[in-house]
Amino acid sequence: MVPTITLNEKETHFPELLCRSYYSFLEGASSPEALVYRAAELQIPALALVDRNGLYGVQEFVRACREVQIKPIIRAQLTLQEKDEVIVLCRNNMGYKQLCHLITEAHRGRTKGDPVLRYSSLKVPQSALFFIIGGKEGQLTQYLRQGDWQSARGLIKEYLRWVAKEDLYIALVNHHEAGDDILCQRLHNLAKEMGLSTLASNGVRYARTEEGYLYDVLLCIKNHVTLNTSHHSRSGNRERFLKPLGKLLSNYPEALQNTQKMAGQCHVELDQSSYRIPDFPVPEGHTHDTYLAQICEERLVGKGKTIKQKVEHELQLIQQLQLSGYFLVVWDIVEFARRRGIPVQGRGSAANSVVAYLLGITPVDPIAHNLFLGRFIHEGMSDAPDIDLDFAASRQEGIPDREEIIQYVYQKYGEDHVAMVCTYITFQGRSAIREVGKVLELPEKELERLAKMVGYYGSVNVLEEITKTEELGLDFSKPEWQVFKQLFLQIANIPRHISTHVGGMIIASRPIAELVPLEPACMEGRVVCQWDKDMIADAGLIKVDILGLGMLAVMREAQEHAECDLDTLSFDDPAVYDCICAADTVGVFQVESRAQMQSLHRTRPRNFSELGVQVAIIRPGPLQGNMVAPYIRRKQGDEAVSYPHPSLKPILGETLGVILFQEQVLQTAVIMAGFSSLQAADLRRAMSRKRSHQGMEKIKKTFLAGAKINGVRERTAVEVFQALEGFAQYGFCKSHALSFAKLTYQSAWLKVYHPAAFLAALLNNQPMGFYPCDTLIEDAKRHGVIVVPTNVNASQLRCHLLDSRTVQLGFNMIKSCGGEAAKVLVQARTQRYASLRDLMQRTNIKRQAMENLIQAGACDSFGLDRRELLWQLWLIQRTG
Amino acid sequence: MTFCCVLLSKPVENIQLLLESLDHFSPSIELVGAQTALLDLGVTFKGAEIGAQIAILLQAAVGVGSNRLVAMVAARKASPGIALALTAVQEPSFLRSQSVSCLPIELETSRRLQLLGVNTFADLSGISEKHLTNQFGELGRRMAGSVRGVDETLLRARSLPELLTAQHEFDFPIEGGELLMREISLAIEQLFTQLKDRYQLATCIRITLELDRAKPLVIRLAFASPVNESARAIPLARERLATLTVPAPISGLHLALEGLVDAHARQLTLDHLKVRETKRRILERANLMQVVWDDPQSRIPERQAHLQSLTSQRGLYLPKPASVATNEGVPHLMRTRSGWQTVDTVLEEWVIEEDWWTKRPILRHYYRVLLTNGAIHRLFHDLKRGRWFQQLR
Repeated sequence: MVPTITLNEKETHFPELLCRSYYSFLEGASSPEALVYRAAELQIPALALVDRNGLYGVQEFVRACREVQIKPIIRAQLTLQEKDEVIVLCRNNMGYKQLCHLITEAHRGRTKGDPVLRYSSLKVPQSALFFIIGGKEGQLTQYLRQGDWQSARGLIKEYLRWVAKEDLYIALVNHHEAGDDILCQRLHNLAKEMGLSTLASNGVRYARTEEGYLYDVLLCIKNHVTLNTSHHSRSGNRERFLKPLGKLLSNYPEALQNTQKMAGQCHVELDQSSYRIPDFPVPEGHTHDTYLAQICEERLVGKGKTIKQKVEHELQLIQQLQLSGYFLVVWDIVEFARRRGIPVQGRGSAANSVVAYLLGITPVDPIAHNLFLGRFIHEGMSDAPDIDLDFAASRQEGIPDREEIIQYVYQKYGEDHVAMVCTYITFQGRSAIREVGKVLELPEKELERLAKMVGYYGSVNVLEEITKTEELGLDFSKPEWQVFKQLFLQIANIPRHISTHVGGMIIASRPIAELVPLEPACMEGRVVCQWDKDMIADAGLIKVDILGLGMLAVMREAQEHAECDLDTLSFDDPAVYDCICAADTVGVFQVESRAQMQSLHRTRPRNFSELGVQVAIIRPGPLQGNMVAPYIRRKQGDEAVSYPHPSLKPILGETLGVILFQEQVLQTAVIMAGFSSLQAADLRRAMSRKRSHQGMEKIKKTFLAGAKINGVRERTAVEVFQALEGFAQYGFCKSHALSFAKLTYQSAWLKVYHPAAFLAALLNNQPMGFYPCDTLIEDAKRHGVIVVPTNVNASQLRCHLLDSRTVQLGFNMIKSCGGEAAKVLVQARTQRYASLRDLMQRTNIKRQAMENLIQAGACDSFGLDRRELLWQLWLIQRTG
Repeated sequence: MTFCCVLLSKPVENIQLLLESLDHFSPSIELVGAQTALLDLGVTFKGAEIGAQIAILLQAAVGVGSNRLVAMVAARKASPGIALALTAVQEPSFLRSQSVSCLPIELETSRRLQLLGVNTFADLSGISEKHLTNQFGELGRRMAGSVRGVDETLLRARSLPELLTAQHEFDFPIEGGELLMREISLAIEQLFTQLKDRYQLATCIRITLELDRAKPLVIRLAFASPVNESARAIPLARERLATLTVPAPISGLHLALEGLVDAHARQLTLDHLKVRETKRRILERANLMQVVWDDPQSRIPERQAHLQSLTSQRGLYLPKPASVATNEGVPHLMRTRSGWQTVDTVLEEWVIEEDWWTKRPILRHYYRVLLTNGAIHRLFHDLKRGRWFQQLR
């Protein structure tokens, strides 16, 4: 519920109605949270977030407002035709929907990042919106700055054609810049003349004055200019920070009063409960709950008592959380994939659920592996759980598998009810160094060297470390580099633009454009919503991740080649573990990297559970948390197994006292600090979100307090919490690790027993994995596989088996020769190609492809050496 | 014949300087791109010696051979500061081991040759001229010759104009005297700069004065020997003008350098950008005094423009220290020429913060004030230095 705040008209603290956050992408420097916290410090009773052409930060903003009891007001600044700007503010929930529609309309049919709305679109039936013009942007301001009163009046008349007079306001904004006093006076006079009301605002772009420098830098990045060459596109001072109204606009008491009045009239509650579960069609006489229970019951036939009890308990929880529909939606997608022969398996925390296992969504039995359901769903959870589905990444012909699934979802639930989730591209290590350095006009060479040392996702601390080294030969004590460092620290993690999430789709029961604005994605015909996965989760919306996984396609194809069934494997074959322990894992899923190979010699997994640990161990989380070395030493018997606290022995026993899985993080918090499942979920969420530093600090305090109550020494509690923090977002959950371990085992099994089929499948699904084709081929040869080069008279489009140990390379192995050229080569081969001339006449393939075929030895069957063939090729082409 | 190829280690910045350095060794120079120069040394026994001198002088890789191709290949094999000079006897064995990429052929052709396993001149010479011509056409024929060390291409010749002219029309007709002499001097300077860039000398200069409503007046100055220094021409012109009486105001000026002869080199490829740049600079200097708008949009008035004269420049709109008494930080009294004046109203105020990223940040609080005597002034408080200034714009 939104806090209901009665605004006192005599209150000296006025609401701030024009606050822009960093979700205006390079036009604001603070997060919505930072703005709200600062407003709370200043006792500002209500705050309006006005991002440009979007409601990107609304979730974050409303959550923070609720936390500090500030009234949130939702609005957006829309770009109109002829470069005009209008601010649209929602009066109530109906207004919110109308605003979402307006934003979606502005984006519809436009190229990405260039939304424009027509004036006529502002005419909304039963409008619950306020419209604000003026301020310091838009046409009206331009006209008045030039003293063009006639055009200014004309523009207002244009607005009044579409908007009711009482809904149109003129904003007065004073940034203490030259001309602002006069502009406010002119706007005020015009409003009076036209019978419109005025509003007052500070036109906020950042929370605190010190962020003004960053704001200037962001504007320069946006306009592709440097600080030295950007006088008119940059702000003239640092007065756009959040401060109490009234000081600069005290001459306009009426505007101040109107501001308070307007804030009092706005009541929007972001309640998405009615959108949550899509209308999944169930047979007559069934509800979502009963239908799900029935499917589970059918699949429980012949199963043991333990599983039945677990399922019963889980179904109850699912019903309580109203998630039956969600399970059915995912089950339906999985069933569709199976019907279409598309390999699919769930990953992530969903594998903790017995119901998901029974429905065939996930491949790992959670009871057999003692998985912790609380990581997936728990009592009292407000957000929706996350189910990620992996589909084979490619298909031999026709549309790709993943695309087919996406199309199915669109068709089943309707285009209005489905949208891709967006992701915010933020400034990270390299991009931050390059962009900030460019704006400051620092030497390009030095910036490049610095960027290379930091890496793509280098954190702020990395830069801190690098600046201490003398290796770069840069003097970081110089003022320009000091400024650079300061700005780098500020710009890190600020959103730059939005992109499409790799596979996240939301499915809603009602049109999504009523809830969150939609905008075009880079891919033609695709739309993304303006919220990322965290915001979607906060809103409690249903999200399904539809991801592509190359190894699934490899499995499918290898099974076809080898005529075997991987689902019947028992995961206990010593030969497979011998292969893994010997680090003979080129091409094997998840354990083929050099780092994995090096650790395999020492960890030597001998069963499925240990394989799961192996998959999880070489990850940034455990590596950063300094957990890998202790685990290996303990596994080798070089170090005694110990626990941070005796109470953690039952949880950390299987990983020898080391925290390796996300489930262990949650359970540690529950046991050591007495966290409820809800608090534990908050901890996990805070750990996995880059933007919640404040949230993490709060949780730390709670953790330490809880540990103290449980009699844990403060030093131990701090150490454990640091280990949890280090683990942060890059660790696997156990269920996910086991899902992947299954593929690891299966791929290793194929490598051991069907190396030729495995090689052919791997080659046909490139690019994937760590190694190029020639490495894979050489490795297969060492395992007794005979590889026959591509031959124009024998090869097919893709690699195929000649017998169980021989692979014939396909045309897809030849550069510039895949796709159409390969098809032509095969189709025109009604009889053997007799010579190069015959081949060229029948296929008419481009010269580059022919050259590559000759060089790869595909034309050796013509009996000439390759150079002679090349000579002939050019001669034939020259002479026709 | 002996050819010398000079490969500079970096692109040449001053072509004039390079040519001046090289023309000491040969009058026939061809610039190939920005890093390579070819010299025709004619018939000489001192090719190796000359090559070594150039290599040391320019710290360049130098090759000397009997034709362009051999010289260029040799230069590619030499190191900076070293000359590789080949005698006619050495050339065949030297060329045999060279890569085909040294041939003057396109990258694609070179790639094709390497695909065929033809990597060196020796490999290529194994293919008959007929086969090469079949495969590559005319290029194949030339390649067949090249690999045997045959290159009949000469240095590229150029055609030079016979005279250089400059025209200047005055906005307002001028009388003779010093002003006219200054215009003539500038024009002569401009013409001789071009002349030097072209590596030429002039034997005569013709000055035509366009007169208002009268026939043009032509002055012809002949030099005792060809010159390319304006310092020799200007005094001569001054001397002659002093003896003349101009009958009417002069509306324009036309100058021509005649009887041009080459200074040394006959075959030069010059970068005319430099000539244009010089011309621009001279024309700029001819304008006496003007306001140059540096950054009209700048919030700092003194950065918007400056005054440019012939020899110096002066800032515009510079702030002037002001004596101001304040009341709670706001100007209350201001000292003017007529003494202290009370501020009647603050008409407008604003804050400017600029250059925060530099060593000298600017933070000013501006006030536009109306004094009781009716005058309006623009003042600012320099918040970094704590001093008051009057902004003169």
